[in-house]
This record gives sequence, C-alpha cells and structure tokens, in this order.
Amino acid sequence: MIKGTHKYLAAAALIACSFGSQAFAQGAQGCIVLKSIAEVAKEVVDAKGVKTVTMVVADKVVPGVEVTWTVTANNVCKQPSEKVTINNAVPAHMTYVASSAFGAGSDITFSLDGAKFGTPDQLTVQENGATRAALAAEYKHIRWVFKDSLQPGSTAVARFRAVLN
Amino acid sequence: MFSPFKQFKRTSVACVAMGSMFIAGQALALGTAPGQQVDNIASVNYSVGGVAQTVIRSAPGAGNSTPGAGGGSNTSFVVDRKVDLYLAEVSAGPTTPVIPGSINQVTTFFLRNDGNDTQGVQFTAAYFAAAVFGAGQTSDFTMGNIRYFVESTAATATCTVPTQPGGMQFTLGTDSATTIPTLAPDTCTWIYIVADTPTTPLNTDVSNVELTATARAPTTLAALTADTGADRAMVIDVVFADPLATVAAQDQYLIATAAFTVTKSSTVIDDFVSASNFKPIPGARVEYMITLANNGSAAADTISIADALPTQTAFYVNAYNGNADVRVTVGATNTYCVAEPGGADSNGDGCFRTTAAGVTTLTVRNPAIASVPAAGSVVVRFRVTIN
Repeated sequence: MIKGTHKYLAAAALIACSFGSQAFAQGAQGCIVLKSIAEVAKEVVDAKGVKTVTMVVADKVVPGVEVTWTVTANNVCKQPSEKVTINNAVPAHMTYVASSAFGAGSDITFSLDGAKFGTPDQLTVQENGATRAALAAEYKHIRWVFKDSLQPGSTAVARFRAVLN
Repeated sequence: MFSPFKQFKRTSVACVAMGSMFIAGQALALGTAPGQQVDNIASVNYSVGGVAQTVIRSAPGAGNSTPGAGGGSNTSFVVDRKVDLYLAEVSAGPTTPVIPGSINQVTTFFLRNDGNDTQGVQFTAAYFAAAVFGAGQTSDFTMGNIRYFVESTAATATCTVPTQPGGMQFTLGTDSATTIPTLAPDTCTWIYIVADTPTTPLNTDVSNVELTATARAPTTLAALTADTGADRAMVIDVVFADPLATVAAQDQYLIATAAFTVTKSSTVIDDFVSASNFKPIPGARVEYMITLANNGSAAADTISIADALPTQTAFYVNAYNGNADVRVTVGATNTYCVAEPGGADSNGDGCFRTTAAGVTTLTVRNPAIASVPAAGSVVVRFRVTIN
C-alpha cells in the first residue's frame, strides 16, 4: 500500500482533479459496492496435457505482462441506480491495450487528459504542428456510461487490459 | 511514456504535486523497476431516484460502498524482478573461417540485459557436436583450448550489433574478464569465444562451439532462484524468462585452407631419330609436367615440390631460355630457375638437385613458387634424357 503521505496527496489530487464540485464523504453507505481487481492470464496444463488459460490474481508481474483490471459495481440498495458511470485511470507504469475496454450495456469513452472524453475517432493529438488520431497507448482514462439502470442486486462490470511498461 | 504531470497540470497545485511524485518514482530503464508499486482505483457516479449520489471509490477484496472521494483504497501489485538475458552470435558470417594450426581464433556474441534489474552474468563455452546452421553442419573436429572473454569496453545502452571486421574486436590480454559483475537493464556488451585450431582438420571441416550466459546476483554472482510458488502479495518475486536464467547461442568454425591435387605427366619431345611421333628410346628427351592444383578455399605459400627422377634418366640442364633448368608457371606467368647439383641452392632461386644412393631428386620451392591462390594452380616443367 502507498504510504500515508502519498495517500493524502493522492486523495487531495483526486478531489481537486475529478470531484472538486462534489460534496465530501457522507457517513451513510452508498448504494453501490465498487470493487477493483487485477488479474493475469495463467496457462495451466492438466494431467492429460490439455492447456487451459485461467485468470489469477495479479502475480509475477514483470514488464511486458498484460494485466486485466476488472471493476464491478453491485447495487446493494432496494432502488435502481441510474446514470451509472464508472471512471478508471490507466494506472501509472502501464499502457492501455487497444480495444480491450469492455462493459456490457455501456458506452465507453476515453480521455488523454482526464477532462475531454470521446470515442477513439474523436481523440486527436497535436504533433509537430499536425493533428493525428490518438493512439490507444496514449489513452489515460476510461469511462463506462451504462445505458440502463442498475437494478437492485445487479452488478455492472467494466474491464480493460493494460501492459506493464 | 505519458507523464502524469501533463495529465494534471492544468487543474490544481495539488495535482502538480501528485504528478511530480509519480515522475520521481519512475524507473529510468525501459522496463518498470522491480519493487515499483502499481496502484489502481476506480470510481462510480450514479443517481438514485433522479438524485445524484456521492461518488464511491473502489477497493480490492470485498469492495467499498462508503461514499466520498477519500473512501476506497488502491488495488495494487508490486512489479517483480524479470531475469531475461538475450544472447546471439554476431560474427560477420554464419561461420568463422580458420586455418589449421591457427591460434586464438575468435567468434563474437552479443549479450543484452532484457530484464528490469541489474544482473551479474556468468558464462560457459564448450565444443558443440550437434548441427548449428542446418543439416550437415555437425562438427567434424574439436577446436582446442576453448576460452571466453568479456569485451573490456563498458556495457552501453546503444546496442547496435557490430559487424566484423570494423566492429568491436577481441584484443587478447585486454579483453580478459570472464564474468560480468553488473549488467544494467537495457545495456549490452560482447562476449568472445577464443579457441585454437588443430593442425589436422581438412578444408571445409567444421567445429561448432556454444556459449551460455547465466544471470546471477549482481556483484556476488550468487545463483538466482526463481520464485515459482504461490503469490506473495506485495513482495518482489524473481521471474526467469528463460529456464535456469540461462541462454545459449552457437557459432561455427570452418576450416578454409589449401587443398592440393597433384598430377604428373610426361611427353617425349624428341628422340633424335624420328621426324614426328617421338618414341621413348635411349637418348630421347622427355619433358615432365607436374601440376599442383589448389582446390581449397585459401591460398597456399611455402610450397615445396620434390620429385625423384627415374634412375634410367639423367636430368637435362639448360632446357629453357638457354641457361634455365626448370620452368614454373603460376597462372599465365612463367618463371625459370637453375637447379644446381649438390643439394645447395647457391643462387637462391628456389631450385636445386640432390643426389643420394644414385637417385637424383629435384626440389622446387619458394621463391620459384611463391604462392598458389585458392582455385589456382602451379605447373612445374623439367626435362630428362633417357639413358
């Protein structure tokens, strides 16, 4: 885990960057349990020599390894949740894998700066005085906007993959 | 790599502080350094009954439902240590040509640390019997005195594969180290196998050699152990990219030497009786022609031809150019020499005669025959009289 000082700075930064207009924490529990897990693909060979690939909790992660990040949002209230929007920054030291973002029933947009979100065809980069399409490796933020309400007891899943630099 | 500094710099001072902190933590090497913690946290915004709710941040394990920007916690892992060496043979051609009896013959290998941490490196070099460059390339002989040395120039990050000649060259005595105490990530160097060629192998024979490089602990060169067991959360595991942290590459020594075919023919050039169709009768003059063809792949020098004359013949002097005894033809060039009797080459032209036990032997050597190039030949002519 990150150290106390880091934690304070990180929290302060997130308040200022992303949620500056929102209220500070409230005491009651929210309607959504949000969980993030990191997994890597692992090839398993059974007694018959048959290879299967299973996902295991991120272990033995070295440069070049692809990590699958999965965010689950489970509605624990009795009312539906609307306009469910999950945000996740591509972690530092990692590079987003093209076309890997997935979320059933969601519209997925990306951002280079955390402010302007768009679909891949809407994202551009200024380079040497010219405008070019942004590369997937340049995406730094991912946003999943779920089109339907999240019913009580239901879980929305947002997933993407990133390679350790 | 994208800088978090750019990501946040336009929003607030707090963001700049965060960006700077992350930059300081980044590894300089291409691969993220072992021990680096990678954190991720997601957030969800939603509404209930049309009322926007406070953001909830994610947590690992059971997750988090406590609202607020300070809630939740990072889902994290630490970067493990990747042990990954790259070794390749980089001689100019697929084979290294050598001459029988030549010592300190060099093949060059390229070594790079593709892992994400500094490693020590140990080597072995040995004869390799199996084929290395396709079918029919198994070893025919064994190179002797096989050694290995590390290039003395410090490892660099500019890893352009050298070409020889003109690239990095082995220098006996200067390049003397046999281990690398520390090889930083993304740096490279050259390793040389040095061996002596026996005198016995024939042209086109090959001898294969293999270099292995094994990653070891920096400086101490202690053996490394891969952590193959279950996950150790937030601990730096050692991961071998190659079995036993060892890589191998092979090269081939190819014998490129002279290989001679000798033919000898005789022609009766006059019997002093017939007008034509001369017969080998007593008193007749015969010209011997010895052809030495070099079918090898290297020029030959210090050649010496010795030919014992039949006892029924007598060496005929002054056969060529008025006062020369032997004609030597290399390519289209004729040279002539005097074969003095008595075993001494008194004029130093490379030709002389020796007589022992009634047998006369003609010797023709350097400088009469200086060198015979690959695919070239030398023709030696002399004349005798039939007794």
